[in-house]
Amino acid sequence: MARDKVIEARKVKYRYPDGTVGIEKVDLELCRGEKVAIIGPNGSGKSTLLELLGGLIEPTEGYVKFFANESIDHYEIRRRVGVLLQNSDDVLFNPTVREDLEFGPAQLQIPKEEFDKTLEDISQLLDLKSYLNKPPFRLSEGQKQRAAFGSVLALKPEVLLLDEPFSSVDIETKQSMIKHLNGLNEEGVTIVVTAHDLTTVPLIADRVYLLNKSVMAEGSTRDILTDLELLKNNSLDIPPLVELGIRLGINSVPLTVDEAVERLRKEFDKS
Amino acid sequence: MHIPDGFMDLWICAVMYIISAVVIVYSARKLKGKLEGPQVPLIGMVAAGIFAAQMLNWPIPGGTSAHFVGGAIAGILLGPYAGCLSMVSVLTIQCLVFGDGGITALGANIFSMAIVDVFVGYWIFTALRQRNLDVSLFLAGWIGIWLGATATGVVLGVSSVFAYGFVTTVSVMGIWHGALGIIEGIISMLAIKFVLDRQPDLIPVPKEVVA
Amino acid sequence: MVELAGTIKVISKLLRDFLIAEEYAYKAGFLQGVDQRIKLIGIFLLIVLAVSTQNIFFLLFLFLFSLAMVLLSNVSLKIYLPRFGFIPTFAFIIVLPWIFLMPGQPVLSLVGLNATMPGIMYVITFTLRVTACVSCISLLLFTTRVSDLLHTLRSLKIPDPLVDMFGLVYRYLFSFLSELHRMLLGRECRIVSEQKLLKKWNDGGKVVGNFLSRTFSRGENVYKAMKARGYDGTFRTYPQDYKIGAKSVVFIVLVGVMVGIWLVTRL
Ligand SMILES: Nc1ncnc2c1ncn2[C@@H]1O[C@H](COP(=O)(O)OP(=O)(O)O)[C@@H](O)[C@H]1O
Ligand SMILES: [Mg+2]
Repeated sequence: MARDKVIEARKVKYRYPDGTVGIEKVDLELCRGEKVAIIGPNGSGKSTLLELLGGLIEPTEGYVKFFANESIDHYEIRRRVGVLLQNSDDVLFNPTVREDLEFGPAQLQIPKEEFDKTLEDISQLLDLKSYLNKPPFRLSEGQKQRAAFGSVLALKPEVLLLDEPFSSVDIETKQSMIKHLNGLNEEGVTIVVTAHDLTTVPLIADRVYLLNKSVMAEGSTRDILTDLELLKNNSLDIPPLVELGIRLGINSVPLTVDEAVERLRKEFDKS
Repeated sequence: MHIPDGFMDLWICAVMYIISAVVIVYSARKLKGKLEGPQVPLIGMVAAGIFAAQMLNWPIPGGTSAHFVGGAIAGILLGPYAGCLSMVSVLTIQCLVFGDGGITALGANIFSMAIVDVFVGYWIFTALRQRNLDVSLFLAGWIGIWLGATATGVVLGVSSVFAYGFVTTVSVMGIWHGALGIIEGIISMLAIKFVLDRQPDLIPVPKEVVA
Repeated sequence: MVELAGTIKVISKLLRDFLIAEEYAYKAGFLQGVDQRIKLIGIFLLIVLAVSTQNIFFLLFLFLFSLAMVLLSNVSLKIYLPRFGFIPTFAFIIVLPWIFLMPGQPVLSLVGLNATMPGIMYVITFTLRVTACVSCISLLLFTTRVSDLLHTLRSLKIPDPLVDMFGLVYRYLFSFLSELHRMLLGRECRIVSEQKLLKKWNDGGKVVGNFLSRTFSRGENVYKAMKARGYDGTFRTYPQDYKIGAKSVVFIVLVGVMVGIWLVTRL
């Protein structure tokens, strides 16, 4: 089961109707239960790629294959792959938060009783209870992002594709989202996030694709995030912790605060 | 141009409902397929834009009120059938969600704004676009609303609950919208050209123009 | 950029009106508990009655009946009445000249014009009829969620393409208005509104162009977001409980009583 492919992209190119090339020559493979980040600067094609992987747009060249199945139908993709678009205002197009959470399950004809239970769980988890009957545009950015996240979770997908999910949320929301995503991953959900700010990447991904119109590098989170040359060449900011670790000359550079604390403790104890 | 409830005799309400229902069912058949693909956002945005523009309205003496209608824009950008249904949706939402335009008068309001304005606008545009795109767009907007308003004048005129006679209502609606329709024509032209700039492939330009 | 503050007000009011049913539809109240189809048909019937009568007492009674419904549905009259004040006022002004134009016994002379009794009665009846109708239809606006309305329309056998179009236009309208609202509150717009007239027009044009471009790409993204959650050309909603409860029965009886009164006034 370990190498069970869920989504596979081969030689994918996408050109927008106005002629702009979103991405080209992209090969990507996603296995069940993985946590993957797609990183790249603004305009590098992250959103385009995610929409292709989610089956929302069709490649101009190449192909995207879902669940190793050539002839999978649209309904099944939608049941199994959840996509959260970058901008929560686009995701929340219903007059109330409740209707936004309801939209997907109703479209996919998930039984009402099942949805009622999901709604209860999600609104509890994401702290949306008191906003359910509010129009989304009256919510704060963080609340909107949570509602948008909830609207995708309501479908209980096996594969979750999230486009810069942490870019406009407050710290608490970010932490609870990360915790929840990791929890889902342990239950077997495959997770893909895009990011141009690399600080959260180690918390949510084991493997990274560096995108800049096409895939510039692929590897473990550690290998990619500590390759300063590579990051600099692709106009990505080096995460402060990595820089700190490298400048201090710590071997096995820390990627997360927890790691950093542990390593630094060791160094302190030595000296 | 939205007739409220209580302005028209019941029998004429019924007649207008029947006529509109026939055209709606015909358009729905013609539209076939589902609402999918790149046309979806366009339909949504055009309808929403028309809706918002319609909300700015002012009363005119002797008739009802005048405002931007936009049926021709819908007909030209979305094609007459989708254009008609999207205008029907706009009018129904205005009636049932905003209380703008009566529920017994809905048939008549649909007839003037979602049928006459849309189809006339579309036909004028297809007939003239090869001569001059701008002029065809302008005339489509202008004449579409003019005839639509005249239709409103007719139904009000034949209604006995509305004491003004046929000649008064038709000439008031006709004259006012004949004049105000010029603005409608200009706005229609600018709006459609803006959309065409963004999506040039939307309305295939006939070969003759290139030659 | 006619008048920024004014425009923001208009848009905010639109958005508010838009969502008013969503606010009240969740409150417990009489009409909220009536089966949607019965409510729609009942209200339609009441308006038909109003349109086909000349009886001033019936019209007055119907108007009072609608206000009673408002109170029973936990909607405040203070919010309810101003919502439709414009249409009756407008109707009144339009037919006002008929006080003098209607042939009949002069009862009162004003600057050489004779007001007649039939004329006065006509103006009162007409205005009252319009008022009663608008008041009845507002009952629907205040107590019915649009998503339920979609379901009702479908179950009344309105053709699917039309109901789907309705759902689509409704959702886009919502996105469009909130985008507009956001833009008007934004910095870009404020700066323009503070400038000199000529520059204002110039930059105002740019702002409008920007707005249209932005709403277009938002429109495309909204479509992707709908698609991502299973939209395939048809809007589905969870079915309402079609149990016809006590409230529905009471409503049917009340409408029946109104029909009875209407018949009596026709004798
Ligand atoms: N709707 C669109 N039409 C035309 N070009 C677009 C559109 N969306 C994105 N692009 C272009 O495609 C490229 C990739 O964009 P995107 O996928 O949004 O990048 P990222 O998400 O990494 O910032 C950019 O050059 C962008 O300008
Ligand atoms: Mg992006």
